[in-house]
Amino acid sequence: MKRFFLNYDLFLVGFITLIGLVGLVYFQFGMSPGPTGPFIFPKLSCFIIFIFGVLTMIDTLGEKHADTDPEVNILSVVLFGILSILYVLFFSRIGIITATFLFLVFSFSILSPKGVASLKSSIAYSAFLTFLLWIIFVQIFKIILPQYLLF
Amino acid sequence: MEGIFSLDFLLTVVQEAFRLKIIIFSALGVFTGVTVGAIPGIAGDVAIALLLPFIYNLQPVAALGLLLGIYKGSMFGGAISAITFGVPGTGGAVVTVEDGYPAKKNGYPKKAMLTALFSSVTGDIVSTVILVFLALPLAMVALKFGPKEYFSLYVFAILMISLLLQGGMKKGLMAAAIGLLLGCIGMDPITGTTRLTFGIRHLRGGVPLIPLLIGMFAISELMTQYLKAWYRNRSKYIKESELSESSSKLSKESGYNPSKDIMSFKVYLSTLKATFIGSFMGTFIGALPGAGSSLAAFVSYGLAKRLSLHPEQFGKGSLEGVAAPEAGNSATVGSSLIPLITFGIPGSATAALIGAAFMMMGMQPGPLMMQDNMPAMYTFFVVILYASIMNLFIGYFLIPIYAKFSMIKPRFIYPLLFILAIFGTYASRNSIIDIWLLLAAGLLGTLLKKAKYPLGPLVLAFIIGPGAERSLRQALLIGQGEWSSLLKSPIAIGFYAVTVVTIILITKAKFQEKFS
Repeated sequence: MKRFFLNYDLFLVGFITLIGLVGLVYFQFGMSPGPTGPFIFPKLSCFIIFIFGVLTMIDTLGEKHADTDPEVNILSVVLFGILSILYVLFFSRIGIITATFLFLVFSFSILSPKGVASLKSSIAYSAFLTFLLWIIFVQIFKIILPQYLLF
Repeated sequence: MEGIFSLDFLLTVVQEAFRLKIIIFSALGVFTGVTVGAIPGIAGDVAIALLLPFIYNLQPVAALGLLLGIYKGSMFGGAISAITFGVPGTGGAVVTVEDGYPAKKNGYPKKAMLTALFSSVTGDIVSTVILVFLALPLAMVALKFGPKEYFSLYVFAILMISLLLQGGMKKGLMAAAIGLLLGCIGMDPITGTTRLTFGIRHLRGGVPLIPLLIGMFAISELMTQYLKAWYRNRSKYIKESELSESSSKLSKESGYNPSKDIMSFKVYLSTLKATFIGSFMGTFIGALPGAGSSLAAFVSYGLAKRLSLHPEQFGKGSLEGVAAPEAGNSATVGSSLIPLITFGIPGSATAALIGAAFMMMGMQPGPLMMQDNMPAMYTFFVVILYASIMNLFIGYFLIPIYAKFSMIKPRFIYPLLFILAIFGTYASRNSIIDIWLLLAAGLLGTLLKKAKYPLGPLVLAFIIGPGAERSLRQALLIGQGEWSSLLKSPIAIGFYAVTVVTIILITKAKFQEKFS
């Protein structure tokens, strides 16, 4: 696991450094803006990314232990990422209110200590919150939410 | 300018500040701040970021009162869970645990909690008064700055942001540079040339502020905390119910006697020295770009311990040990606005969000902001002063309620926060693309956080980047493209010298720490 996170740290810094290098080359040779043109500042930013990226990579290579934050759980990120993408895709198809209700039911169910056993209370709580959100956003703030197949 | 101190002006300002609507929004802000501060994992900046899209329709002072109320309230709110459960509600309350939780175990939670509240409010008032008196003179000085001086100030600020944050200096600078690069996307501020949009029309106006801020602050936090709430419920983490039981057991075992746990003026006076140490250290540290409330709390605690008559009691439930960090972290609130209002450079990530709110209200942070919006700014100052007093009363009434909760359960909050982030982002421009940008910003923030890249420098650099670019290019245009022209100003040389000296001192301190 430590090996994976050491590689993760190295992969990330390598990727960011590569962006810095590509940007630096692009702005240096791909553009001819002059010393005060619009590309001087992005070039400077890429230069800083590249220089400190190389220095951080040297540091990372010399480390025996991964310098990653154990609080950030990759599984949590993946699960939440998938859920949020599904939510956005769903509300683009079936409507934001319906998608919100389904998202809340699913979230409360899996985050509850009793799991799916608490489905009834999750449904009730989600229905109440969805209604509250609808009142606040649609009725009070008069925000036009995207409406698709369903509500 | 002479009209500033006229009675008419002051009466108008006070009358405006005490309008019912503004009082209600400020009180709502403080209430929300104390509440979110008491929930571990959700800091005031998350709440402020989430509320940004909804302030468009509000009167500027009411909106700013709401957001500043959250900022102030959350600073104290973090102490409630720190003292009751030993779990800091915010980063600034980490040090409060050192003495706050032992104080509770020793049988005087009420005294510790009220000490935290009183010192927090004292620190807050001290820094707000300093803000009120320093803002105008400093803005006058800032008006004399040209592009060269401004660029040197931006360099100083960006380096300070990256260096003073805990963690790696190189990663801090990389994060700042990523923020600068993201700020370059869209039309450039001098000629209007489109850059780095990769043909995406939506990005011509630049990366929109709201999805980036909410993504970085709220979504990345939710991505991190989401499964933790699940784990916690399945006893891989400390069970909330157990925490509550052990907490009440502790009180019973220590033979809690409410009659001995009474806060008095004498107790407050005994912590006054530590409170003032925290207040002034917090004000000073808060005014430095990027230093933040955690650092202020740490330094205040260390200094108060060194200057205390009873340093041996620190770590064992000393009330001075509660007062100093609480005054320190709350004192950063007012002072972090000093560089924002006078130079347009936020003193902390949360101040950057307040800066974004100013911009959304049509008030550009910088030296002209005071001059152009004199009545509104002084009304705002009156509001943030009385918001401190509101913090005292609202905090006083919320302490017993929040301390009785086993813990405000995050599992009820996280899904709702996510929905609010989505609705808020969509509502700001009615754009689905903004929602995808929000998720992308959240993912970027989480990936960077995993590898310990601080997000504060990224966000601050993103916000001040366009100003830094404008100054640099104007200075270069005036100097006919010569980089050496950037050094042809005594003020600029002064800032560069301070920057170099600070880098040397911090590097030396880090080396010493590493080899000791």
